[in-house]
Amino acid sequence: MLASLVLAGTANIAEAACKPKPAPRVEVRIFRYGGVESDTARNKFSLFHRILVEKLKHLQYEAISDEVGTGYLDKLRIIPRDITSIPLPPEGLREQRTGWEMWNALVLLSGGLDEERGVYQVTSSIYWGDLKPEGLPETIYARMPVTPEGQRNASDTHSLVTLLALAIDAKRRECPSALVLHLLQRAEEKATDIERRNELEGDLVKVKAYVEAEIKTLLRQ
Amino acid sequence: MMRGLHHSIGNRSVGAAVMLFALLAGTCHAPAAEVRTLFVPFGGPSELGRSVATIFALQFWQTLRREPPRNPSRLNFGDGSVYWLGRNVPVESHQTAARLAAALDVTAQHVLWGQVHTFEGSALVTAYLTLPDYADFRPRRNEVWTLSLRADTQPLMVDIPQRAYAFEPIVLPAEFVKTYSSPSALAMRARKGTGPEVGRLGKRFDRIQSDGPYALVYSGGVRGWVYLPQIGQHQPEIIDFVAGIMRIYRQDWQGAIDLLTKVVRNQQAPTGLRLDSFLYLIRAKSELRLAADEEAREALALAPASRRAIQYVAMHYLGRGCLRTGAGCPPDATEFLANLPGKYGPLFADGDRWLVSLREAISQR
Repeated sequence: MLASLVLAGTANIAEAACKPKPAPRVEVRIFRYGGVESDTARNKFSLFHRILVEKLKHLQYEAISDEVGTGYLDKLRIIPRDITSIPLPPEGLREQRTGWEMWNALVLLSGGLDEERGVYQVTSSIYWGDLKPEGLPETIYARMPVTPEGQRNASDTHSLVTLLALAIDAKRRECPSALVLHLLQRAEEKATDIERRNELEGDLVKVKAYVEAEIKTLLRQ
Repeated sequence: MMRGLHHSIGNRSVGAAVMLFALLAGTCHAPAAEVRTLFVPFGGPSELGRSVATIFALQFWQTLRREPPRNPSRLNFGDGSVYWLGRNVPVESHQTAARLAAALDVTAQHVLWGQVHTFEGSALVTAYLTLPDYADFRPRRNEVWTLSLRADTQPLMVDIPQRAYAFEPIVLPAEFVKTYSSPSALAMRARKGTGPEVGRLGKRFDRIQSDGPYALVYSGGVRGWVYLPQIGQHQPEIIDFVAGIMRIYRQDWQGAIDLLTKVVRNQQAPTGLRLDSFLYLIRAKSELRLAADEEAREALALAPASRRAIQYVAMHYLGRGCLRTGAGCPPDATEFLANLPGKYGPLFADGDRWLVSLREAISQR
């Protein structure tokens, strides 16, 4: 009783005053990756998928904060959850865009699996449509081996883009700066971790630069 | 019904502990209550997850202490315990971990859980820490930082930095996987490292004593020494961090400094982990009336948009009286506090109580 009262004194239960429309984008849609045909390839993709889902669930819990009103992230969903019912991806950028808009999705994940000198490599295409910041493409590509070392980084790459997409969506819905900055700070931490492993390259360099610039702008530094 | 073994420094049963909390809730000088960490066998396709979690649990137990080695001030940090969950329970999210911790027969403040993903031969261990937020019968929450600036105003209160952590995934080499994938992988020997094997560590065990990488345990009716191998290069930071937080919860401030300093020195630790270790160091040093200027600088550099980092640095400076006099404070501390509402205001929700209280304190200085 006493303990719960003490904690109640510390928490600011805030309902973020974002614009009611458009609705927040809280769906991560996964599509079938190409090259997943043999049993070995299926096992490899299953492993990649399992770790990805696990990390996205962690990201969700980590990002929810009553103090800044990110409670709506409890609706963040990976669709579909069951690997056996993953649909074929929309073909081409135009279809991707149509699907992204129709589903009100946050990001669409698709890609391919191939074998390179006995090691399976997965290439993920992370489509974020209009959420992409200026100067960045509509699709971010990430390539990593399906090995313990490769998968260590894979989840951070997907988490970084997902967090930035959530921050940009929140900004578009005119959510309070506290909420947007909370998500940007989380994204910044993921980017720093990727950089620490010397894996920050290609579009991810621009993603990190964008996150840092946004933080500075919102803090008016 | 969950079955578990409860390893407490004070050997207090769970039921008795709950009774004690209830009795102490109304007293003015409640002694330190028991703080508990729950270890869940890691999920995965083999018994490897159980072996990994068992090793973590026993290594963590070695860090528990009721008092410092030299104790002229006669400190007593109360009871800290390890709750080892005897059977495999699927825990795949922080929500599930939090529910498990809040069960009446567990009431843990921290849960270490995770998954083992097997590749050809090798494996990847993903470990998570959940710090659930629920009414856990403790009369006081030491981890919530409370600072009274004036007798006639509400104290400033800041909760812990975060309630969910993902550790740097650990890559397990093939040899480790092979050795520790069987249900009875951990051998109990008559002597440390040598001597005949007297048995294998079962699902249930009691700890008796520890010495470096060895633990003396009782399991299956026999006593024996178990060797606790290092689990990948990121294992030390996991144990140091979880044990450091346990010490914060138990007001073992110097003990927390000892362990969390190791985490911040590890440049390979995840950013979130290093940041929050800096924050806990700031808290611990503040409680011991030590300056934490270096930690404050590091935290702000690591996370310029972290509301919690700003709050912890501010609490430290406020505790040192930097708002009023500035004497003994870093040159920019007074300015940091005075400018905080303007500069870092966007990090706080409208009407944030902490920021409102700080503004009042600034206006009354």
